[in-house]
Amino acid sequence: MKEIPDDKIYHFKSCVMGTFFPGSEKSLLYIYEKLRLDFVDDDAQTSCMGFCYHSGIIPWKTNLAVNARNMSLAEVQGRNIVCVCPTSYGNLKECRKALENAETRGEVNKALSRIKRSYQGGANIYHASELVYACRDRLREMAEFNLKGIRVATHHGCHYSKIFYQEVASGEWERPTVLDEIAEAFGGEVVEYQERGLCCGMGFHHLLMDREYTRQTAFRKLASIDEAKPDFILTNCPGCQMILDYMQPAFRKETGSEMNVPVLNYAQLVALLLCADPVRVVGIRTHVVSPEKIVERLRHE
Amino acid sequence: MDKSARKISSLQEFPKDILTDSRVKDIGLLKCIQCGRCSASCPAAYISEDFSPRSLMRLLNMMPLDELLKEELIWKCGQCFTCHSRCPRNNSPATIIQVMRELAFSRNFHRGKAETMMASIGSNLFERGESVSPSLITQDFLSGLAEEVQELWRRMPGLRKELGFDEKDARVEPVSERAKLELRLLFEATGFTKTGVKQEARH
Repeated sequence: MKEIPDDKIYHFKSCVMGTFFPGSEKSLLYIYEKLRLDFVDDDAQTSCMGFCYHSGIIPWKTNLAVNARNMSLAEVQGRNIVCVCPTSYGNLKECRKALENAETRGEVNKALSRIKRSYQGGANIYHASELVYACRDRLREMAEFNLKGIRVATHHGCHYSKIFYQEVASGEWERPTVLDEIAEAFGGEVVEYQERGLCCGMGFHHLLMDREYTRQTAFRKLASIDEAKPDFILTNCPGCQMILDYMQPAFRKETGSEMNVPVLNYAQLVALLLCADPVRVVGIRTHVVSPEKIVERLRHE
Repeated sequence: MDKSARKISSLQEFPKDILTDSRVKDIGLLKCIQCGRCSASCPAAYISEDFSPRSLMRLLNMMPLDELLKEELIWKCGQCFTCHSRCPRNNSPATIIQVMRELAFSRNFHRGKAETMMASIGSNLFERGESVSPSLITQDFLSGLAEEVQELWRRMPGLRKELGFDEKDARVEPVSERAKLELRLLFEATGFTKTGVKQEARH
């Protein structure tokens, strides 16, 4: 069982989350504060550059150096890095693993010496959904509302469960259950659907220049979710949240489906159950498919 | 892809430039048994007539590397890494494809793609220290997306303000000036330039 420390958190921000769903990040920090966790929000942290890296425009050496710098920021403070984005999680873990090699570490430290920093490999890397999962019992006790009678379809980001596939915190990579257990802890009913493990369709460069992969893969995913008739989709990836939300109008138009299922990040969900302000904290107005009705339902209003 | 133009020679060695990449050394490219478990799992292969990770792994030792790097094939993958986790031989087609994309750019192939990406997510790293930010969600990005998405983004600046987030930046507080300076120094030290991947940056 993977041990998830819940103190000395280095909050690792995501450019995709901050762009499309600022409320997801705000919700997570709301939860950290409710749990009285010790975390820092550091403006010295840069993008992990994963979006660029998977698109091929970042040399491996550059990726290593920039993320060694990012990890060194947590390391000097003796903190655990908790990523909100699965791609940051996968990318930082890949860099960390490569930097176990003394020769690679030496080369990277040569580059880091130009900015008076060094990397010694001290910080551990976790995903924030794992932390919320580890704290679910405490959070349930604090929650004002629950998910009784509500159907949830879960989708774990590929870069959370498929790159370091032996390290999912619950379930296994073919069937990660981190989000399932979060939903179930609050009394939700997790629904089964055929394409549970399928990519959302984001595909990095595909989103910028060739959206055929995105369109077809997202439609295949949405069609499968639609069959299960969930009340909402729960995800731990900001990119997936954006695709599964933003693609629904086009999916309806092209397929004649009536699907209109809001997509929530686990932090938004838990913050809502803890009574956070849906608009000012959870940011439900930045969604294409409005979560307003589900918010009313789960708050029994 | 014009298959007649593909020069298929007899089996040759896997290209050294791929095998010597530190990310490839420890994975099972040479152990690939062409079982096709990757392709059966691949969302890109599902929708493409000419792409599959299995055949791409085979082409790696059937075609001169440069010819393969020029193919559109390397852009079909969505980097979901299902192949990586399902491979029974510890190979990782997704990683190999990533390495191939970097190599292709370093050899000046697919310039149009490199330029498009450098003009958005790439140059954003220099300017903001972020890959993606609201400043990139322009009409150009939104065109082709549903009217509902475009409508949301007309309201987004106000919504971001209400949430206390910067209008153009992905954060509440943008990356600090000092951090951006450090980032640019690391780019310089490791060969990442505003025009894209530089050849000497590799290895």
